[in-house]
Amino acid sequence: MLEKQRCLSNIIETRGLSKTFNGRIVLDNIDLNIPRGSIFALIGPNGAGKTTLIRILLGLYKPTTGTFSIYTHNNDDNYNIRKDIGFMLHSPGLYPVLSSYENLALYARIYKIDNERERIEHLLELVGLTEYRDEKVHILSKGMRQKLVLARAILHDPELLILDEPTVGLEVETKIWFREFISNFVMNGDKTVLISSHELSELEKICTDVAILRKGKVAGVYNKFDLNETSLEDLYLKSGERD
Amino acid sequence: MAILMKELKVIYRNKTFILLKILFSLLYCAIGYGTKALYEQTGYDLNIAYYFIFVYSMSLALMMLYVYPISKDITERMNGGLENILATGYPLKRLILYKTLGLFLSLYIPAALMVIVIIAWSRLYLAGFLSLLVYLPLINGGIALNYICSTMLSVNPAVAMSKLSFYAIAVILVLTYGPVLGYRIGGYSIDMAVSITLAVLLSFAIVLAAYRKFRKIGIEELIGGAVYL
Repeated sequence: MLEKQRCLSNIIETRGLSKTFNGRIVLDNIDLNIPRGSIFALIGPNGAGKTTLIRILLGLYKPTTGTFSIYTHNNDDNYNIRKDIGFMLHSPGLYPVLSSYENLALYARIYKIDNERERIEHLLELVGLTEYRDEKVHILSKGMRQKLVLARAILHDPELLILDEPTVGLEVETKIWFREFISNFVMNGDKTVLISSHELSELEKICTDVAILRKGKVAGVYNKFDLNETSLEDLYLKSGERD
Repeated sequence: MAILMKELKVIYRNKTFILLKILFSLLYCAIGYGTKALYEQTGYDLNIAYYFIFVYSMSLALMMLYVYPISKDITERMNGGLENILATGYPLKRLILYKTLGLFLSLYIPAALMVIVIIAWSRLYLAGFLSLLVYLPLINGGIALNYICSTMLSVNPAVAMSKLSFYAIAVILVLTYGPVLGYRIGGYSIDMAVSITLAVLLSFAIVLAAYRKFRKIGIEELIGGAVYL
């Protein structure tokens, strides 16, 4: 399922991907190509299957039928491709009684990162949490926690970043911060971001490609040329009219 | 090891649990020393010492289960802690074993301290070390694994926790006060060998139940269950 072949154009490909839970179809025949170097937005109403798709790509769920492939630059058969993928899930998974540093250190050790201390200090500075380094996470605000989770997601310098609703419930300034961070992340290297979100106005400013999911199916896929001609909101609403 | 260190940090930052663990450890040591008086009063009946080494140590381990802060595991599951770790590719079975080890140490140490005190005054070295190195690790390992898997697999971990705690208390009452009540009410005295045999059989049953749950657990069941919390 996770093929480690080099692919120049797409970083993720899904073919006929479907997922059923207790007879209920959550994803139905998903065919997607996510281009390398893109900021690919996945949008859709609640229950459309976005989170399920993300969980399948992260190996948390097995698809009922269909396949998917993630192509990163490492061709070694023994390589764990998860090391090329960073993620922010809907649930942050931080430990409230551990400090910001300790939360990052846990994942640094899971990923077996060299120069753990320098890397964590650098990331804490990058996300503006240096002064909260030794503070327990339970005292951080929601925005700070989300920044910490983002730092954790890029701890191992992944090629692919998968973000599941990273800005939900955040204040405007933090949303803008996230938007700029994601843009810079992609621009500064051979990186790709797959982002699931309801924040259409924010996505519109940065995404290069969009897939709309409705009731477990792909209702539309659009690239930057389509987005130049019409707004994301219009595309989203039009995809709903076809139901 | 990163997961084990995380487990121990989270467990031992709970000040209430630390206090209870110290109190229980001291209490168990006192009980272990107190059995010497009982042993002397009953005319140096070795069965008393064996009973405390094998049966009472198991019961007290079960009692520690009741004070263990399992809420941290429930919170971790609800907050997505497990999901996030598993998304890195970290093996599920290894994650469970490290979580189990964290609980195991909490159950084992107080009971082991009691057994060491009993070994010291009774000089029952073979029985004592058999208990320390085989019997207690087996039971406590089985209990810990059973407990962790049950709370992970259950749609409502709080209910699973209550159920297991109830069974633990029931076993404690049956094995410790059962013989006394049986004698006082019915005049029936249970042979110590029977009590010890029951305790050993129960320990194997616990380990078997734990192994079956451990084999059944999968990432989807774990995450899917958390969705319904």
